Amino acid sequence: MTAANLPPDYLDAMERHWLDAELLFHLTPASLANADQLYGLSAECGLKALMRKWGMQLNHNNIPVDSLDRKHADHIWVRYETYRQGRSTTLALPTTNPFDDWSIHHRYANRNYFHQTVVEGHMRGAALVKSLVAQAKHDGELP
Amino acid sequence: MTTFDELLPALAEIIHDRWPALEPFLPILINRDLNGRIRLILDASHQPTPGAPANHPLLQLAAAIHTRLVPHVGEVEQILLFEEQLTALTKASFPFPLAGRDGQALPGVHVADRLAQEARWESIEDESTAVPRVVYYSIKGGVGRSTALAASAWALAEAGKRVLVLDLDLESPGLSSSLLPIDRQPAFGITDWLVEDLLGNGDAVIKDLFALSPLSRNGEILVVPAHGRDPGEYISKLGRVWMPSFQADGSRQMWSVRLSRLLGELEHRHQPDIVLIDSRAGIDEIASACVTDLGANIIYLFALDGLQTWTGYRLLFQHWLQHGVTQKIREQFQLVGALMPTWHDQPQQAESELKEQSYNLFLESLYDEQPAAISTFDDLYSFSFALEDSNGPHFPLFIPWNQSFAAIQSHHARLEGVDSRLVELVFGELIADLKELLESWAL
Repeated sequence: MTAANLPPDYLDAMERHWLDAELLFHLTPASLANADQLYGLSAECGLKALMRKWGMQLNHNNIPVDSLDRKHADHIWVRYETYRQGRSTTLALPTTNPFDDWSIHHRYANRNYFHQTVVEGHMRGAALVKSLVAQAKHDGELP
Repeated sequence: MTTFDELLPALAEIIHDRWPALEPFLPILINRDLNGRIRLILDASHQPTPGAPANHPLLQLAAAIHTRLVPHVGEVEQILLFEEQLTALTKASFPFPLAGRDGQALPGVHVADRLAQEARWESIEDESTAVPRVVYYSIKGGVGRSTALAASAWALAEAGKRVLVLDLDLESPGLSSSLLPIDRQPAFGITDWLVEDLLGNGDAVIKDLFALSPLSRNGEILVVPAHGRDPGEYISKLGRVWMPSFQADGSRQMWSVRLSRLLGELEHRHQPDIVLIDSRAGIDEIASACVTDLGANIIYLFALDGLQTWTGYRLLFQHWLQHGVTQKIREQFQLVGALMPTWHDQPQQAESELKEQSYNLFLESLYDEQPAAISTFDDLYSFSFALEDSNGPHFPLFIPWNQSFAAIQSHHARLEGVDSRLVELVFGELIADLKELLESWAL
């Protein structure tokens, strides 16, 4: 039997993934592999908070109806712009996707693959999404 | 039910009435969002702890705002927003002081306005120091602004100057056709560069972004049009020029900053003596970029004597006054009386009426009050002029209506072989003003 999905709270999820990613990144020794995954998840949740506001539909089980929305940071970065178009340019994303080299499948990989410079790039991407969400709150796009 | 214009006065009253109790929580940033909804942003250190008593000054403030400002607020618990980096946020949001009941600014209370557009009339770039830049602006279209610009370029080129002309009336382009015959139009225009620059590809078009006008004999007129010879998918490109670009470090450049960068590159490339910019008319996003973001040294305000003109300019001047930025821009202005009637019984009467209207406009928002006596250093340099003082920017440069320049399809055909005495007769005051700018620049 499959458990029913809990209703999403994308903003809270963005925040908690970010906080945990930061904890892991700044541990001694750092837990880079898991921090890396969480930076990606944090960015995905922040972007989906806005996509949801702009019309992303969920099915009865709280999963996005459109399969193009059932993706992670590496794809959602581009997908986000589809929802944003025609809206405030203050919420535009850079065309270069910092999560191009991030994948949800990296959760199966050995920790030695995760180098600090790569993880830092994903940290910057997640931080950018956080500042975008803050801007959206000021603009009145998010509560 | 409140409406938009009642929000700030109501907030001023609410805050003023709670003043001593709120002082420990300053600064307060009043955030007016895209929908006109109000939130107050305070430093995170002031966030009331969960279970704080209902008489906590901030909770009382939120409750009072909620009661008074519905529907311009969300739920009462959403009214206060606490941020870690309030100072940085305040700086980045072009805040203006909130005037209290007595009209004086409430110390530590500012308003941040979130607009659907990025270019802002109150953000004013420093004047250019490299090359003199002149913007031709009008509240209304159809006042002969582009014609005056084309004639100015022609006259300055006759005087041996190298003139760079930009057509920034992107939504109604046409200036370039007045200075270039069809077969001389360049391959690309400003719109092409703004779109290519989004992907760091501006260099692909910048070499083919200008053409030399055959009208220039002694000097040169370099024309940068809104679009190229073949406009291509112009509407699709225009819908993208507003996008910000992003640098490698993730920092963003809004579109007017990109435009300013283009102007800098064009100046560097062509080394003109002067740049003339045709702005879009009206209170418009492109116009805002032209007037406030390009470091103009002179902004010609074209005016017909009519209610629409003065109401429009009054709205703008009041906006600058509210944001406390008039001193940054007022010295660049020069009013131009356009299409002045020459058939009037007494032509001077039309001029004097326009001058008076212009004077009233400047007096009520841009001029300092005339000091009764000069007693301090500041009095000596107060920005105030008498009605008949021709040094005042309100004192119009007049352009008489002239049949030769009215309703012509192609200025290029008209200006080709034009009699310089006719140009002088119609545009003489404007041209003299430009030559004065160039002379003062040379010093």
